[in-house]
Amino acid sequence: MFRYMIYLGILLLLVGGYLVIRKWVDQRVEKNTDTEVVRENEEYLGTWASKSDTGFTLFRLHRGGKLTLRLVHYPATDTTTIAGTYVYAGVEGGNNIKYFPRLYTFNEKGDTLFNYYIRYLTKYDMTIDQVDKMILSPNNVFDTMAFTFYRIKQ
Amino acid sequence: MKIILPCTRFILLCLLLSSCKSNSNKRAINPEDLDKAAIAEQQSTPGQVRSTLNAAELIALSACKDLPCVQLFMKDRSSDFVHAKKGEFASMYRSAVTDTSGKSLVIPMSTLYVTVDAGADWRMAHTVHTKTLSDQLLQEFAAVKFQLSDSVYSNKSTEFKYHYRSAQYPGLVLSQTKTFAPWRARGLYYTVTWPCYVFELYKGE
Repeated sequence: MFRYMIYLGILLLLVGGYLVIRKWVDQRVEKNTDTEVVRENEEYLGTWASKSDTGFTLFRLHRGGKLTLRLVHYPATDTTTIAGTYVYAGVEGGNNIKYFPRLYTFNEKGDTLFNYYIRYLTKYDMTIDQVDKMILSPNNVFDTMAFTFYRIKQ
Repeated sequence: MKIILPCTRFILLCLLLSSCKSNSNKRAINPEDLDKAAIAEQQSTPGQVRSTLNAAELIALSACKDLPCVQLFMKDRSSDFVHAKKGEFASMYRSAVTDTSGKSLVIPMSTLYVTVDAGADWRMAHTVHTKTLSDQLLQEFAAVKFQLSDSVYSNKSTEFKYHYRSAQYPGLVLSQTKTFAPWRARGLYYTVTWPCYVFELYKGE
């Protein structure tokens, strides 16, 4: 019995060690390359973009709550860059649809840029989606207007 | 001991290498590939864009006189319509419909109900839930020369029922009505608070 307890301890130590090493490496990679290494339950982090006939929108959700938003309104080619902050709220509800996670973004003055429900977010271990997706919607009514953003390489 | 040390190093190296990978980061694309991703997504999720049956399909369906015939016909359209319950088909595409109190309801944009009760007269009704879709469908019928031939006031539903006929389809009568009682106490229509536009097409009336 004691022997098995030792084995279990070693296994837990290995898993714990792996996670600690992974976190340490991720932090180093993020610091040196100025990117977000996305792990389980933080799939919202990173750079997202969407393109339509009227414009191009790109935003980066930095670790720590910082936001960078870039907009291009066609046919002009000028890029408007807005720096600000964001809040990812409502995750405590888990899979309960009453607690749709929301994404609030603010500019540097604190004015709200957008306040949307996250209707869909590709999970970390998802094998169906070839590209990570985030679907933002002004409301939680199914089959109504929504904006699809794709994860962009950083 | 000679083997254990390199093995440990190898395991540590594997751990380090695997820890660098992130599934989410691997699924990222370049900004110039955004169009491709959007097209690929559209192709991978076909259907669900149709809200109603079209005029040609309703004309073809009018030849059916029992449920198996309707089921067979609707089987080919199963990407757009679901056979929810015996004799009750509903469009997969749902959207917001505003009822008379101004409340927004998210419901299928149309349904196709057929008689399943033993001994009951045959009835097949395609009910559309917005005026825009109803007008669109009427226009499709107008394109194949269906013209208003009669109107009947129903005391039961307190609505006018409009009959249309076409020289191209002799014997076929299209009846269209705006009602709050499209099909009494069945499926979606137990408590109807929004205007429904019912299309029925029969031969030899």
